[in-house]
Amino acid sequence: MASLDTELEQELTRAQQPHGQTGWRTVVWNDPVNLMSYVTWVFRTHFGFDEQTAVNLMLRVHHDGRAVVAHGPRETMEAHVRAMHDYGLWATLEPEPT
Amino acid sequence: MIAVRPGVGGGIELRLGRQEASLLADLASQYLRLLEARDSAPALSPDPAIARLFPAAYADPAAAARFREEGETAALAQRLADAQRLAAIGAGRTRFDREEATAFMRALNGLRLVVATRLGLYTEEDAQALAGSHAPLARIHAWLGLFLERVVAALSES
Repeated sequence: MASLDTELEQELTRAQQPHGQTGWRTVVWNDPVNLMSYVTWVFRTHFGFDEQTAVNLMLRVHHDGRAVVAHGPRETMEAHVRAMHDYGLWATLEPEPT
Repeated sequence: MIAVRPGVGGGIELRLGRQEASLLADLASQYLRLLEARDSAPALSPDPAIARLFPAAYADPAAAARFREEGETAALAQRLADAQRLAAIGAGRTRFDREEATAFMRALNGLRLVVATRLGLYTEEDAQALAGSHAPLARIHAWLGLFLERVVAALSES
């Protein structure tokens, strides 16, 4: 499970963060209300993830309490966070750890 | 009766019995009133239901306040438009295209979040304590969950 998560993380980073760009990331937090199926649907629809990636991220939110779902410039991450809030998901953004 | 089926063009087709439609209309109008009463001032609301619908985007309060100032009016307008559509649904058959179905689902989920905060549902322990409760609001919460589950399933198929 841990190795799969790391792989997924690296894949997301590669896909969404060009070299040398100031990094920010979008975090989705667990809450006891939103349905797992709903969160998976939002991840698929908004980010365009395939089913398995969306399910893995949803499960990570559920089990770890939070998951990083996107990396990139601050403005893009703010747009993702606004979209997540519109869907009723609890999301924040933060700088990439240095 | 609640029936939700995949519709044409990526949308859904909804069929509601009279009792379900009446319950949904009542809940939706309360949800709409709650949103309409929301002061447009961008600050964290003392009402936990409103705070849940418009959460902080940053751990840093100054950055969170700036984010609110820039976007909360639009976010509130979006929620209001979604809630108005929800309140307009009647008994019988309703067809939604993909965009309408998404708006409907966002509103249904927003309404469910409000009911959850009214129930004091904030942790997994709260959720476990609530499971199987026959209190009226808890039953409404469970009903909204079932409803939403069917909408998500239909939209995932369409």
